[in-house]
Amino acid sequence: MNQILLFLNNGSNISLILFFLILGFYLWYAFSIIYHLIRFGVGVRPKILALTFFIGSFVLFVMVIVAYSQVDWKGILQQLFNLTITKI
Amino acid sequence: MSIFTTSTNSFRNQLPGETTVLVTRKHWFVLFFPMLILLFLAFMPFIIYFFISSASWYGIISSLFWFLVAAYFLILWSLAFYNIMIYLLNTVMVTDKRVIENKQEGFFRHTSNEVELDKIQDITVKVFGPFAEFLDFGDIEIQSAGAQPKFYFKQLPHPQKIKEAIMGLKIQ
Repeated sequence: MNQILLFLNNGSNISLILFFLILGFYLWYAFSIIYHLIRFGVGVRPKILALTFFIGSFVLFVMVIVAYSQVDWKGILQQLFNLTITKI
Repeated sequence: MSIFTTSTNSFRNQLPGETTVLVTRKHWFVLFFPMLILLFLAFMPFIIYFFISSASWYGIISSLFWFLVAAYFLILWSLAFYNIMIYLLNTVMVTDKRVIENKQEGFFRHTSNEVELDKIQDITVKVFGPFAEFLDFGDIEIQSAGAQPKFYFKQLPHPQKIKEAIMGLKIQ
């Protein structure tokens, strides 16, 4: 129990949990769309659209990861900190 | 990869020897407005970029801005395909034995109604408004002698042709 509280006390761990919750929700959402289109779709068109959705989602997901890795968090936080100090 | 081979419109709970004659979905006009809204929303980041790109602080947050734009497009892509999924899974199927309506209301929420061809008593086509008249879509009401007396299929394309197809099968 103490270990759990200690884990939750760390701010970065909270954001990690939040990240995995959002990722889990997104993966469930994407899976549900593909599953419904393949399982319940009548004819070929829903299956082709499921493939299109999968490819598009994969490409966009990779773009999000790459864009996230490019973010200069230190610079942004430093600028935000400077802005706060100036206002005070 | 066998799911991508040519299908003869087979479906769940298909009876042995049952042949699909017609598969129709709601008119594309139903999907038009949600897609138009999503298209408009897709332009929003570029409009925002136009206004903030000249600001002095843009250089610092530019990487964050493009990360948010990428995430935003991922959400829009998913929303678009959710709408497409709902549109594609709401079908009316006419087979040589029955008329089946599949209604998809969300994830894992669907209903299916059916009426046997020999229980159909009357079919009424209803077209309301100028849009429906010009784009050729309308509602079809089927009166049946079965447990459920009335079936109502909304916003179908070429309703008159669907009616003729059902009546033709009924006569055979």
